[in-house]
Amino acid sequence: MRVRLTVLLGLALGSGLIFVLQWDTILAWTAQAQRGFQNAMATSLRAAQAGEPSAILALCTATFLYGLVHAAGPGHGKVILGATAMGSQSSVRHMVMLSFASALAQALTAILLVGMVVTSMKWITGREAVDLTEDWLRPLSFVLFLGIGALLVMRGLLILTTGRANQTCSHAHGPSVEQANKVGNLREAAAVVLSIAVRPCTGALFLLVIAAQLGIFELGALATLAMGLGTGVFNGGVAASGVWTRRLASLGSGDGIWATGGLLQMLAGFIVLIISLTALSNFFQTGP
Amino acid sequence: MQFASHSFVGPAVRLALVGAIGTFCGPALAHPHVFVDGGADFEISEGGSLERIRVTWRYDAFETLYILSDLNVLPMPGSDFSDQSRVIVEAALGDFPPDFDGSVHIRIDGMAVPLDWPRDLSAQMVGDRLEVTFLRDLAQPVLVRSKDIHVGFYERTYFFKFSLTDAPAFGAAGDSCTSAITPFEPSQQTAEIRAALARLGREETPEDSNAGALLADRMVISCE
Repeated sequence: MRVRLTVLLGLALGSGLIFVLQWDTILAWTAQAQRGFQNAMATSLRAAQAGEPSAILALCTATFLYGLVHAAGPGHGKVILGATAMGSQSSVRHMVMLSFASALAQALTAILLVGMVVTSMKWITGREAVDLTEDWLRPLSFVLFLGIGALLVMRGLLILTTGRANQTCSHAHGPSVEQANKVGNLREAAAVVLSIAVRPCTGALFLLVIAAQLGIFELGALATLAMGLGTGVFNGGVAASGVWTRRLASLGSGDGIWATGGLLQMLAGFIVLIISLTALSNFFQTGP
Repeated sequence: MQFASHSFVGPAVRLALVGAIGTFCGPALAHPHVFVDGGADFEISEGGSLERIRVTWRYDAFETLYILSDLNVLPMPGSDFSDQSRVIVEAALGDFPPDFDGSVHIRIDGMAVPLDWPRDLSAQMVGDRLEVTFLRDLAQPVLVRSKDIHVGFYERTYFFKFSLTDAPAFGAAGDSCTSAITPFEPSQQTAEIRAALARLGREETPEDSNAGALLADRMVISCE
């Protein structure tokens, strides 16, 4: 146990130091890489319009990599997934599945928004769809994040109070720690997916508007799903690291693991609450 | 290492550790969606007075496709606009939004130089990229002889990443002015900039922040 903890601690601190020392360089690289992928997307969209078969693979590769790199930038989805991973008892496999489900649902939202509302119904233009996303769907996603943060805090409190009572009394005062951890797991997963999917990625909207105009909307939709897969890969890594962080924090807890779990949930919830409230406050201060 | 059980001490220590690791992830920045190359030309009179600037933007190929698709005026690859399409593009892009912050930010002797609203926008295709130029008059012409002009090329939210790629022209003062462009370089950041970036928050660069200014390409112009 001691060796395992030391190795994990060393790895975590080592990665942290790399991030702290090289973060700006990493971000500068991701911005530059994103520019390259955007150029590749533009070129392959034109080639696809001209009917070049290889353009489909090129476009999907470019959008997959765009999604992967773009996800490395700021975004609330990662916070929610990381916090959920840290604050629940979900396995790495479940969290990775949740990350992919969220990313693909987000891609589907973009496809439905542009495919139906912009292209088929012609209710709004592509630019208005982007405005709708930024002015209405973005704050809506913040409100949903807020709800998830509050849920994590309350569940953490429940675990702490229930766990402490069960430690000091021979009979149960409420749900067990395990029960509290599992409360509403499916509903919470659905809430996480919804909170991320409600706000489609601007890059995906751009891509779909262009594809629709070029008469290759179906290919744009396919490429958007590839973009979602790329996002899912990165976010899956974040979610997995959340699970490992929780396990790291729980090592050596012994009988006090309930307290670690409860505090972790509260910490994760408070992080989500603070970030969501800050984002909402900024949104209402500056206006849509 | 063994943490105490049956108490909050062990979990608290571990959470502090988790928190410390979490903060190691450093400041996240806004990520740009649109990349614009270009620069500014400075119209300086024979009397040494800076009167207006001409700003050039060349959108990246993806944004070019998006703008022109949205306006339904996408030309064939390698072609420029028809006259009719050009009118549509110039009308749409010449209607600057109320929160437009200029992209070219000028300081002389440390003082911000106010610019009038953009005018006379013209558009053309350069390869697969849309290029626009427009004029901005100085609210008050400024004598620039023996002064350093500091120029930042940015949009404050960093949704647009502007890059200073074009060397400036100086009008009638072409022989007496020189310029030095300094592209943004992460390794050149000062501790002050790093601290400012850290304050921006991890996941969203607030719209009222000035992330773009912190990450901007800059230029210093000296006129004798």
